[in-house]
Amino acid sequence: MPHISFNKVSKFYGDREVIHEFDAQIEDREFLVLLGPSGCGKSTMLRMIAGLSDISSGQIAFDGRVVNELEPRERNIAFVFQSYALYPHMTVRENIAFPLVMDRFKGWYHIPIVNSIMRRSIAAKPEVKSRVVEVAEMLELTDYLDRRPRTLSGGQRQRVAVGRALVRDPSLYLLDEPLSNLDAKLRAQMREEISALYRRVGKTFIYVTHDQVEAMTMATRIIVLNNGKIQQIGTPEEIYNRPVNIFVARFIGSPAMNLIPVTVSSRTTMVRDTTFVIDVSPDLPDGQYLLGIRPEKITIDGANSDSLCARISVVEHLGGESIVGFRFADATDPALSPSRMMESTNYARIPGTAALKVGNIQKFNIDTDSVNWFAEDSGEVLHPTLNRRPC
Amino acid sequence: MRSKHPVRESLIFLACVLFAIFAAFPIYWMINTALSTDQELYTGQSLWPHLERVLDIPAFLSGSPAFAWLGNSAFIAFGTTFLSLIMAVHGAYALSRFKFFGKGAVGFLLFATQMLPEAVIVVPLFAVFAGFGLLNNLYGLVLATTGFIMPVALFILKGAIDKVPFELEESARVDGCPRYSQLMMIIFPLILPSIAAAAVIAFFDGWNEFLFANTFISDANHWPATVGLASFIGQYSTPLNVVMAVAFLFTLPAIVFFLILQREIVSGLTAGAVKG
Repeated sequence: MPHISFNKVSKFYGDREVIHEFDAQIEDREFLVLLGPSGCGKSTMLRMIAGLSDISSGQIAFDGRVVNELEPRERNIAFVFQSYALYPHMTVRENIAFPLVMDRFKGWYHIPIVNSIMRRSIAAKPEVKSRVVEVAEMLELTDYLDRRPRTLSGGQRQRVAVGRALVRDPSLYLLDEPLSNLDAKLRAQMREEISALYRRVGKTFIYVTHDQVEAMTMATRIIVLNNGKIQQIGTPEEIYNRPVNIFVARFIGSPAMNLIPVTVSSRTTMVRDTTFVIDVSPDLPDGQYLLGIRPEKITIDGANSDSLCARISVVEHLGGESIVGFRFADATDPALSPSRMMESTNYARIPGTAALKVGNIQKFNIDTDSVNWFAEDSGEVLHPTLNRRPC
Repeated sequence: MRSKHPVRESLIFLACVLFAIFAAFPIYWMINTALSTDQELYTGQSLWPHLERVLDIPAFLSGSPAFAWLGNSAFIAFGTTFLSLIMAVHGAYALSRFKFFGKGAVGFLLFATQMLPEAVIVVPLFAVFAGFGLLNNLYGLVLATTGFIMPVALFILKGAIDKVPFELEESARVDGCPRYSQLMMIIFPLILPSIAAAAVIAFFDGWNEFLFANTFISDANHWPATVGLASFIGQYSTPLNVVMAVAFLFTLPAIVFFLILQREIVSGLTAGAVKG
């Protein structure tokens, strides 16, 4: 059961740095999700943990033992690939048995022709057969054991890939976007199955995805990456409610967190020319800030002193809820160009199907307890003491 | 089910039959000539071959070195196939999967072997073979033929290996499979159709080898069938029926080899054409 520590791990391809001084600790039995947009370096990071890619500098240690030079096999890991990487010429049974067969291979078994004979011979051993059947039963693959991967559906192939990872009972599971090739319905089902599997095997999982829903629903902890740099490490709730910078704030959540440019002057907040009463820390200096608020923390009920007037630009009824887009700029400047207007569109998530009309001016209320303040220049969240409302 | 265009399909069928007759006629004529007597060759062959004479061919050729020549051809063909494939599989894997200094140059030099006609290097190669004692030696012929056909096989196999997703090897690596076994246990079975295609090309190159054999082999006992057949052509007479009988026997193993690998080759030629 490894405790994994990363000490300033970097990765270069030529002169290009794809991972920048990755420092983190992964506790035993965690379900850690590496989350980030395409090309942020999350798969590279996973491959370095697996030993499939070299580490340019820094150290990765399992239980204090540096594993930089160890072969993947010596790290006692299992890796589920995005493409599943099932061996097309082998049956499901042979695919799942392959890691067990390799465990039992002696040096001379690798001689050409001998390897083929020994692979079949070892796969026929009772302990190997029973273990394969046990894993197949767990993943409901028993009926497909003698079929080739090409005859299986996407979900079944996915399960075979997981079965191959499970069969050797490794201490660390690495999963590289394993659900990205599945349709939406199957993805939701497999999400549940992987979460159930995690609870059942009780081992450490490191899961790479660009899908925030997967991250939020499965992870015990999330590391958000962008351009090879860690943006934030935290639980899904921390990442969602207290993002440390505007990248995380905008990346997590759909619609993303609203970032409203405001001016604070003598503890008074102004959105454009409208004074907006919101309590701020007495230590917050006057200046320009970005006020971050999640769409579900904005309501349209009634009108009080913290209400903000804005023009409704879009209403999307989703059944149980509605997404309402609104613009402050549009309320005062109808001649604004369409692209500029899109930039400044904010969203509210309203329960039910609100009877709102596009083009109308509407009053919106902000849950001031849920506001995050970001520095306008750096995009970093303000220090907690400044971010907090006065008691 | 009745066809929508019966006339068009009939015409296509007729054209196919005519092409088949056109392609098969030389083989028919070879068999017919082989089964004709000397007298019939001069008075006119019957259109229907005397198939009952097939069993007479071994007796007819007894005493001639034809069977020894066929054996020599088989040795060269199988030797070339075996050696070419062993070298090509490893070379193709290296060129497909490894990054190394001079990789581009290696690829170019292998390709360059195909730019030179065999006749250009036959004289320098003769000198080299003389120095190494490889003249009048079937092993030498296998080496010479392999030198020309191995790059072809290598590029066929490199193309096939390029199409194998590298994740399969990485997956095997995580499962504890060493590099060489990744090649033998994972990649090799997946490129079998291309290996079969390369094997047929190498086999026919060795089986049809003439130029090097004619130059390097002076001992008639070491001639392959190609050179042996050519030796039948005399200044005053050429026993056409004997030539055709030997040619017929010479054709048979090649056809059998092709038929055995045909299924693999067809799938090899279409592999990768459709995403699946």
